[in-house]
Amino acid sequence: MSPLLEQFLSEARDFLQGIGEKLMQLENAPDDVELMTELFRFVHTLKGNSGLFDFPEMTRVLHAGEDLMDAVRNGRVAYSQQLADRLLDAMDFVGMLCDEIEAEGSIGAAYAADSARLAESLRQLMASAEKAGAVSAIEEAATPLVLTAAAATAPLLAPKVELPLAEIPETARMAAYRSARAGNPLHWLSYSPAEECFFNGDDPFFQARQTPGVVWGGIVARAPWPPLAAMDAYRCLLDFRLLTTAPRAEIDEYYRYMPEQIKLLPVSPLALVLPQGDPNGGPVYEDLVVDALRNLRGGDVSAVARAARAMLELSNPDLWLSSALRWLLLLIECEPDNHPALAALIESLRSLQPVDWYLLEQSATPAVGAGTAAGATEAAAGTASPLAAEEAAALAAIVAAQRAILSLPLGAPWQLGRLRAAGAALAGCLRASGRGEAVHEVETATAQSLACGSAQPLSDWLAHHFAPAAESAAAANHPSASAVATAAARPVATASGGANTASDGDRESSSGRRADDAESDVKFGRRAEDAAAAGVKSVKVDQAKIDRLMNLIGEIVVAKNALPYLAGRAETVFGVRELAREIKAQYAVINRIAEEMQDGIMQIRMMPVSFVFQRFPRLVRDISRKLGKEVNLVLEGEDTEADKNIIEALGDPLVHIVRNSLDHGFELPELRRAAGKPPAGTLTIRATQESDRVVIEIVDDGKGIDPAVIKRKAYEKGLIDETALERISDQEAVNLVFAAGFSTAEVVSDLSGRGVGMDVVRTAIEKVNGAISLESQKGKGTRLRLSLPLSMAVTNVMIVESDAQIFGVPMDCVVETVRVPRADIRSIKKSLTTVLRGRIIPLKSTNALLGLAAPPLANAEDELAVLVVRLGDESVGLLVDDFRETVDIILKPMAGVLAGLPAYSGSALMGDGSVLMVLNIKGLF
Amino acid sequence: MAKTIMIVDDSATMLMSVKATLEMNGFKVETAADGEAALSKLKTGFKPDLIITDINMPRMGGLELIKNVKALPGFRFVPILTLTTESQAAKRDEGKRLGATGWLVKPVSGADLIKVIKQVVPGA
Repeated sequence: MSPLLEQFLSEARDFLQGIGEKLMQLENAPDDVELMTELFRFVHTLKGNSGLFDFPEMTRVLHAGEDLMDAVRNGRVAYSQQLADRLLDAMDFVGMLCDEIEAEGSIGAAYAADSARLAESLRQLMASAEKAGAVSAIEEAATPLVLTAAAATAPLLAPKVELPLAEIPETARMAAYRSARAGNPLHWLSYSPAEECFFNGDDPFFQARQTPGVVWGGIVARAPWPPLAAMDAYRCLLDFRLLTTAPRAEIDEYYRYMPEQIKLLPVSPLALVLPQGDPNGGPVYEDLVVDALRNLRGGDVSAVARAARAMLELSNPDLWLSSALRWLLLLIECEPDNHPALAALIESLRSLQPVDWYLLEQSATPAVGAGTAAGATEAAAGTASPLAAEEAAALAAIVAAQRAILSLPLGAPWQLGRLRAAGAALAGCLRASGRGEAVHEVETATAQSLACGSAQPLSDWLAHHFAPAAESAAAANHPSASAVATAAARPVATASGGANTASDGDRESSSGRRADDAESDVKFGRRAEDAAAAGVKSVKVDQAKIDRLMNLIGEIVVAKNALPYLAGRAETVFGVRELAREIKAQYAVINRIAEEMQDGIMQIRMMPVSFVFQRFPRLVRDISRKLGKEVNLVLEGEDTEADKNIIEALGDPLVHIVRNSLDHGFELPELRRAAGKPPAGTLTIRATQESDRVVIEIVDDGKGIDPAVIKRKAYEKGLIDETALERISDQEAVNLVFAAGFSTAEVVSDLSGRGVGMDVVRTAIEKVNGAISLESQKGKGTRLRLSLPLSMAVTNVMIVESDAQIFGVPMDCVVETVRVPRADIRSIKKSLTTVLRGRIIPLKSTNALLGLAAPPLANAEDELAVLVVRLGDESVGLLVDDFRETVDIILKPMAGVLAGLPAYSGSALMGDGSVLMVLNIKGLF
Repeated sequence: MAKTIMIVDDSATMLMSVKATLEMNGFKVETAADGEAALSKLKTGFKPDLIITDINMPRMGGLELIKNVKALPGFRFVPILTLTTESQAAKRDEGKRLGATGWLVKPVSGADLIKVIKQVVPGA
């Protein structure tokens, strides 16, 4: 990858991050012009950069985003939740493209359709908003974008679209038909080059000619030709029409620079079977038709073919009938078993009318694509034909849900959004059921409802128009549908089906509310400082370089520690005390510099927790919307700093905890209301520094953890036995969620339940020497507390001696050091214990634990050295020979085979060059 | 003598790309991340033979930079090109009115860039 591309990707990610943050901030302050300008600049610069490379998919989306933000900035389009959503979607897409570029070096053609779709959705927003209010829709209207067929969910059966297939000469159609029957996809491609394409150096004619798999091509004028004098020869006013048998992906790839200029429609091979010619003259074919149909029924297709061939020889080839016979022969050749098609074609010999293949295929495949088919035929015929049973049932359910929503009492003014949502849903139902002409009535009723602040006009309309027709029909068609409908129609939705639909409606209304109420109380906890933080100048450094510095400083520390030994030797071995003193003085200087340097390098590695926190506003917003919950996120102490490794290790566990909390912790708004809580929950993530540790608290005011449920689960999973079940306290029960293999979610949801539970979180935290604790009050909420070291680089250890060797013990495990007279050590059931300030402390011999044969040594007063260490929640005494000083060391984890030794957490170099093995207390036992 | 060109753009990618093109063609290049940085550099006595600036930048944008540069003593005849994706004619005209010598539209090909530079920098 070229350095320029690397630079681009790195900068692009920064911009994307910035765009996300700004959008979040805009959510709270939709009128902030400065924010908008900055947002525009981000998108604008990113688009400019992407233009340096050949990434049309990316540039297209960014261009649309830029235009949209420009419109927002100039007040032509109002900022809305929907706008933010679409823009975020588009930016996610760009982020994905960045990943793709990083991994593959280029963007696959498969993204072209998505790119066009996203760009289109952004532009639509602009077009619709501008149509509604403003002036300059001309600029956008000049480049109309055509939705590619991929965007519409490509139905198996092509919707009935009147394609000018008859223009295609019969031979070309026959060739295409053959090719399609041989298994190739058949597409109608219309390519409308941009008018000013010649100025971009495009050659549309060549482009069209080179299209893969072309069977036939034609050129038409886009509009009636203007008088010669008024014509501009430098504008392309032609449309190209092609019939191609290339796979869709290949066509997308070929037109990847101009997906908005092509329209691709799948063509059913039978649609090509259009006999053409002179309808008059020739013999009467009545006999042939009767015979052929009889033969066909009898299964003798070859007899039909023989008759057709004979007839063809007698007829004038220009005749319509001859053409039909040729097609008949071809059909017999390619699909002799498709009797309905053959019969239809034979029938057409009598009627001289082309077969309506669309109807034929539709009746042949009634189940497939019934929705589109029904919708299309209705639209064409303009009459309301009966809907399919499932559709009618779904329709009835939707209508019933709207009724239930409308019957709910209206409380706060923002609930008016509910009315709007219900109105929109009903209008959609009308359109889907072919009663589009009534849409304006719904809209009038909705407007009235909104105006008077009551659901009455809308529910009146509903009672008047919808009830008898749709629901009774559904009831007749579908017995279960009527059950759903009546359950949901009760004013207070108590039945489970009804409750679900009602909550859906409420979710809809809450998004509607955000759109119409600028003073929404939903906040995502962004703070003003963030804007300032974004402006801080920084240098991006490869982490490997910092790690190298870290290693080097580690070596300097070790090397400088050799100086006191050198001074000692100068004095004792060589007897030059003066030199020894000078060495010591110099050592003090080097020591100070080295310490400062170490501190400085540690500072480089320090990062604010905002690095991890910044993803939460988006995460919480997305997930809570998805779950239909309302959650306010409050972030505190984002500028608290910790080592990069710690911060990075924090990321995944925190995401997991937050997801857990959103998924299982918070209740749905109705439940919260019922429990007397505000409908919107509050999730607080707070970082603070406590001496040399960072403490992160995640507090929610959700439903909390029920110890009884946990106990039962743990028992069922065999994590605790019956006696424990009786005995353990509520706090202990709550802590069981950290046990391996414990997951309380009854149903694995795609959010938090990814097969890992809190035990994974705990393991991840403990890996970086952190601790996690959980407090929960049923019904009140849950508080998780993570405590992590500020830095992992330097470890403070106590050196102990045992069997003439030295070992390090991390100071965070050490409780105290005591000397215990041998007489005070008792033996209980083969284990040694002693009593220390009224507490029984079990004793273990370090030598025995490490497999060393020597017994522990006592001092002159026959006292044994006991190092009391913390092991989980208990204290254990380690019998050692002697204590030494504590030192700061740089702990290097064991590598290779030695990494498998659980008793050691690593090694460190001492000043005299010797190696200190550091014990892993947990691994010892 | 090699001519010196100052590029002002808030995008490091853009700076890198233009810088590479110019250096390949034997120019000396100075960069600045926004109008403010560029102006303070110019105030220290650094005098390039040409300034190429983006328009839309944080702190001080390109148009303001042009205005300020033209007001600096001795900079009246230093040519300034705007290099931007801003296709609005209004902004271009505004740039011209303030004293920009010409404008280029991103992304600009290396050959085009050099061609324009040769037109506006005497002796390049």
